[in-house]
This record gives sequence, C-alpha cells and structure tokens, in this order.
Amino acid sequence: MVEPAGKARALMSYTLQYGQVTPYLGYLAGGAWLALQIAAIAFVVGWAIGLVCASVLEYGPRPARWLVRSYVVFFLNTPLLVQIFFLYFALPDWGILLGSYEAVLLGMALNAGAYLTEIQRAGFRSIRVAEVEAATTLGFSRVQTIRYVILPHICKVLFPPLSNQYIILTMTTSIAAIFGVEELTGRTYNINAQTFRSFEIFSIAALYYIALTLVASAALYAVGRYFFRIKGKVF
Amino acid sequence: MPVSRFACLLAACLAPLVAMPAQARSLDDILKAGELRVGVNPTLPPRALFNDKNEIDGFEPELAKAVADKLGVKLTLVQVGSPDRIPFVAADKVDVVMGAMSRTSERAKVIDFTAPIHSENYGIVTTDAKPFAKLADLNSESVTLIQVRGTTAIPYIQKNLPKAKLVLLDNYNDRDRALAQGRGDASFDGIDAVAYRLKIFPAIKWKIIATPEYGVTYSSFGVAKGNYGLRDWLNIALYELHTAGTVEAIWEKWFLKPMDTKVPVTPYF
Amino acid sequence: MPHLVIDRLSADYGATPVLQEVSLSVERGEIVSIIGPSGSGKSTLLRVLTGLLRPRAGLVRVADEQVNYDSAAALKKVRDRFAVVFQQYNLFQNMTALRNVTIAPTIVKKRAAEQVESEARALLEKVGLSHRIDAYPDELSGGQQQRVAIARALALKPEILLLDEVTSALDPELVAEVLDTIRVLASEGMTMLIVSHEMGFVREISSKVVFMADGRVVEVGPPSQIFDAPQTERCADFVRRILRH
Ligand SMILES: Nc1ncnc2c1ncn2[C@@H]1O[C@H](COP(=O)(O)OP(=O)(O)OP(=O)(O)O)[C@@H](O)[C@H]1O
Ligand SMILES: [Mg+2]
Repeated sequence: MVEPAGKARALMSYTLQYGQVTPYLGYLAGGAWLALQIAAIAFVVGWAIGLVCASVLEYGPRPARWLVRSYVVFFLNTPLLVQIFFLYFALPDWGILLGSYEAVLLGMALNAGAYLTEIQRAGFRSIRVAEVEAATTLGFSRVQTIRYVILPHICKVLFPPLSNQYIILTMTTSIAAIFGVEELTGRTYNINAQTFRSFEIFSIAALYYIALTLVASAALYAVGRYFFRIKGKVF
Repeated sequence: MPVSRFACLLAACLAPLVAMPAQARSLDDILKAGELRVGVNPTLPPRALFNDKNEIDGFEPELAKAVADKLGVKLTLVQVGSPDRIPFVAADKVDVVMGAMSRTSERAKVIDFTAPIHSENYGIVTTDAKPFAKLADLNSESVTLIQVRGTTAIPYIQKNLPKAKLVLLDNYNDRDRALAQGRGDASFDGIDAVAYRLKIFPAIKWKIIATPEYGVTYSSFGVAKGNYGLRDWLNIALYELHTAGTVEAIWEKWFLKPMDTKVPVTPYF
Repeated sequence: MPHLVIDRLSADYGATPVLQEVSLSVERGEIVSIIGPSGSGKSTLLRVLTGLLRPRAGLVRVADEQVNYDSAAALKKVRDRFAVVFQQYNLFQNMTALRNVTIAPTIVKKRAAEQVESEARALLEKVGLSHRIDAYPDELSGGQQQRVAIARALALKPEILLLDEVTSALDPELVAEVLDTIRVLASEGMTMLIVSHEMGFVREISSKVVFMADGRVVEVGPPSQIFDAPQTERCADFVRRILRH
C-alpha cells in the first residue's frame, strides 16, 4: 500500500483522547477525597504532637527536652519515605503489623509533628514580653493574659507557616500510593496501567491536586484574613 | 501564597497540550541515526536489572541487543518506569519500549504491539500453610491479595475475585516482603520470575500454584501508534530470533528455566 | 501628706543589686521627674512600683497606706493605684485602639461595656485620636501608639501615672504630640512620676527632679537646682554632658 509520506508520518504521533478517561473521573475524585482526608488527619495529629513537643522544648524538664529533641532531629533529617517504609516493613519484625493506611497516617503525622514542633516553637519565641507585661500591669490574670494576648498573637504568627505546611502535606499524600493506599496518585497509576493514557490521566490528576490545594489555600486565606488580619495573597 | 508550586502544577498539566508529543522516528530515521533506543525497566529482575557493574542487564536488554545487531545499529538502553513508559514513546525519547509490555486490547488503543516475545504464565504465589488450590478459592472476604500496582492481573481480580481484599504495593520486592511478613494470604500474578525472586527468603515455605484457568498473556515490543514500518521489521526480526532459538536461550539464561508456554511462531503476522 | 512615699526601697536582679535604698516622695498632683545615666535603675524603680519586680526591702506608701507586694491578691490592689506606660510601645497588636483602651476595664474591672466604651472614646479624644479608634497598632505611628498607651493606662483611673521614657523611641517630630498629651494630664492634676531624657520638658513640667546613679538617689531638687546649680559632682557631670548635645 502506498501512502503519501507526509500522511504516514502524521499518524505516528500521539493523539490526546480525553474521552477515553472520562469514565474514571469519579474514581479519581474518590482518590482526591482520600488524599484530603489523609492530609487533614495527619495535619491535625501532627499539630497536636507539635504543640506538646514545642511546649516541652520551651518549658519542660531537661530529660523530656532531650527526648523531644531526638525525635525532632530524627524525623527532620530522614526522608518521609524511609520513615513510612520503616513503620510498614520493619516493625512487623518486632511483632507490630500496621496496615497501609495506619502506617502512612502514622508516618505522615510523626513527620509533620516534627516540622510543626519547630514552627510552633518559633511561635512561642515570638511572644512579646512587653505585651505580656502590659497585660500584667493592667491587672490581667494569668488566664486572661493567655486568652486575650498570648494565644491571639501565637495564632496570628503561626497561621501562615501552618497553612503552608498543610498545603505541603496535601502534596505529600501521594507517597501513600507506594504503601497500598488507593488515594489520588495510586488510582492514577492504576488507570494509567490499564489504559496507557498517561498524558490524559496524569494531567487530570494534576488538576485534582490543584483543586485540593486551591480550595485549601482559599479557605485558609479567608480564615487568616477574617480572624488574624493577615493580608497575604492566595497565590 | 505558594506561587511557584502553583505554576509548576499548572505547567505539568498543560505540558501535554502545548508541547505535544513529538513525531516518532521511522525505521529509516533509525537507520540513518545508526542508533536504536530501547526503554527497559531495571526494577523487574530478571527481566531487566542493574548488574554488579551497575549496568543495565537481563533478559530484555540482551534481546534488545540481538535486535539492534540484526538492524546493524548501536543499541542505547533507556531506563523507564512503569507509569512513564508511554510518555517515553510518545515524546520520542525511545523508539521501542519493553518493560513487561503485556498486550491488552485496552493498551493497544494507545500503542502498537509487535508479535509476542514471550508468554506470561500466571499462578498463585502463597505459602505452604494456605489451603488454596485454584483461583476460585481466592474469592473470599477472608483472603487478602497483595499485588503490584499497575500490573495486568488486577482488572481480572477486580472482576472475577471481587470478594478478596486487594492491597496494591509499589514493586515486586515490596510484594514479596509483604507476603513473607504475612500481610496478605497470596498474590495472583506472573510466576515466570518467582524461581529467581523467592530465593532470598529461604526460611519461608513458598507454594506456587499454576492457574491454567486464567490462560496465558503475551508480552511484546511496543512502538508509537502508527509506526508500522518499525513494527513490521521487528515482527520479522522476532520471527528469525524465535525460529533460531535465540529468544528461548536468552530466556533460560535469565529465568533459570524454560518458558512454561511456548510462543507459537508463524510466518504470518 | 505626700501622695506617694518611697522609703529606702531596694531590689535586685538575681544577685545583682539594682536599687539601693531609694527614697523619694511625690505630693498629690505633683509631677516628679527622674533622670540619670543609662543603667542607673530608673526603669527598675517603676517596675518595682507596679509590681513587676518584687522589692527586697523598703516601703511604698500611697496616700498614707502601705502598699503590699507580697501576694497576687495584694498585687491586684497595686494595679488599681499605679498605671504605667513604657518606652517600647506595648499595645496589644491584635486589638484596635479602642479595644486596647476598653479591654482592661471590661475584663479586669468587669464594668459595663457601653459605659467603658464611651469613657474610652473620651480618653482617645483627649489624646487626640478620636479619628483613629478603629485602627490597629501596626496602622498607627509611634507617637499615636504611645498616646493610645497613655489612654489605655488612664482607662483604669489610676491614682498615679508612671511614664518611662515614653518619647525616647519616637522620631523627633512625633515627640511634641506626646509631650502635649502629658501637659494636658498635668493641667488636670494627675500625680505623675516621669522618667525622661527630654531635659527641656523635664525642666518645664516638673516641680521636682530626682537624679539617680548606680541604683541610688544622688540628688533631689527643683529643676532650677538640678540643671543650673547641681550640688553633687555626679549630677553636675551628667547635666553638663547631656545639655551639651
Ligand atoms: N531583666 C534584667 N535582668 C538582669 N539585670 C537587669 C535586667 N533589667 C535591667 N537590668 C540591669 O539593672 C540595671 C538597671 O537597669 P534599668 O533598666 O533600671 O536602668 P535605666 O536607668 O532604666 O537605664 P536606661 O536609661 O538605659 O533605660 C542595669 O544595670 C541593667 O543592666
Ligand atoms: Mg530604662
């Protein structure tokens, strides 16, 4: 069969077929929902860990400080992937068998906890002694000083870095796929293997991630603006 | 807030729209360049692996070398992963892609496959203590199957063994380890490489049950959609390599046993 | 009978003695200024008076009643008597000017919100900021912040106002507006103890000037004595050096 050279060559390039992957949009959305869930839980747990650890570092007794310090140094200086790998594949040798979801959540929360310890410690450090003294001389009780002066200040100082940490955490959830959690990235890989429509499926996944972070950014922006007078930008 | 991150993401998802995948090289282009670029995935030993000298080696690289020799050009191996195999072809980074390219009608919508290189034989990988004898035994709520994400058996499991719990891990090393640790009861997957793979768990009493009821699948070379000249030449080269016994010899060298199901070789394609 | 009597007051920071037997008295409606070289203990004296630092020895009397610094309950009373404004603007950054002024009467004194607010508006008017009541501290100039701080201190209706170098962190052109506010208070008969480096202002407004050095009161006298005819070598030295600039 003789074909014009130009036409034959044109057939040899890849043609985008988004219609081929639309049946999977709902399946992917389920993955995005799971990613959101993992990010939110890991963030809240990590935030609580960070709050306790930061308090210990600032005000705790020496042995406790030493313990927290080791935790933070260890988790800040090893990759998250290795940490979860340890929880998932090494702990069973000591008789602790964590499921995929549990291992990923625990790893991400512990990792976020280390970062959030440092961030929140900076928040404690930023308390302005002058304001606290002013409250004291005005007759505020200790509880009133914390409630009206220290907490609002810490929240305001911490809000931007905490928001950023949350966004980072959302991206990090993609690591869960490696350990058998069927979140957005995992589901993207599944469909990719089945259909080979890599360009289409990965660009849709990217859009889902953008949606996740965009919605979070916008919500955080509104909260920061309303409660803490933070005049940042969404982008 | 995160300006740069947003830009990166946007770029990532718009990239395929603006920088549309390049033209694939035709057979003539390859001859002119004097080089055949073949994508292999060295995380799938013994199919492909990094040897002691940290070079890519294994069944697929050796076969690719035999093909390049027939074409009379130099062979360049390119490392590809499971999820990015197709972009490598579409963006003209490789001429031919290997890496366990199981043929399916779904995948053939996107890429062109040659005639089979080898058969893929399936079975249940489990341990001595488990009572399974055939695939249907796995279809139970109490069974957890550990599979590798993106492999061809998964759609079958979802359709025919829907009751089993499914855990998808990243690679075969992780799957083997998870099975050894008792995270799951079994894995239904290709068993061609198990003899090679499971040697490293001498303490575990493995049990491999062949599953003829599933049938065999075939693995081929993949080329860009519409690159018929290259595909047709590869088919003829493969015919010669099969009939000369070269494919089988390389297979036995790396998989440590004969191919379970012989590839039927015909002069027609 | 003096409004405020400080009798041989001593205080330490850890093992370092910072105030050593400081004595002075302030009449009702009088303005007394404290001057002295850096590190001489001026701020420390005000911190002790407001109960931020516990004295080691000595007595403080307000209107002939001894001030007790020993317990939290007693300190509550101290804070009714003294209000203080420090050099660094220490407004609550998360509150508007108005809220800064109303918060203490509302949450400490538990007074009715409407009444507190109308008083606060009047105070902010007095310090010349009625147009900025909804501004946050970071939206105010240093001089404006100090005037809000003065209004905040006055909102608790203190008997005695303590001012610690309230103009020294300000740009020169902002100093005058704060000094004007203090003049208004003086004309209303507020008893004040002022630490200041503004020698012209000190001379103009004070009936008595206290010169401190090394945690001690070295010389006390009317401005004419301290600035024109100091009796001690140290005071003469200090005045000479500071007036040369
Ligand atoms: N928190 C503190 N801990 C230890 N020593 C302090 C502390 N605050 C002040 N001091 C010391 O106490 C002494 C008196 O300090 P103070 O602040 O009362 O001086 P000052 O007369 O107000 O000086 P300036 O004119 O610089 O404000 C100084 O030697 C100072 O170093
Ligand atoms: Mg001072």
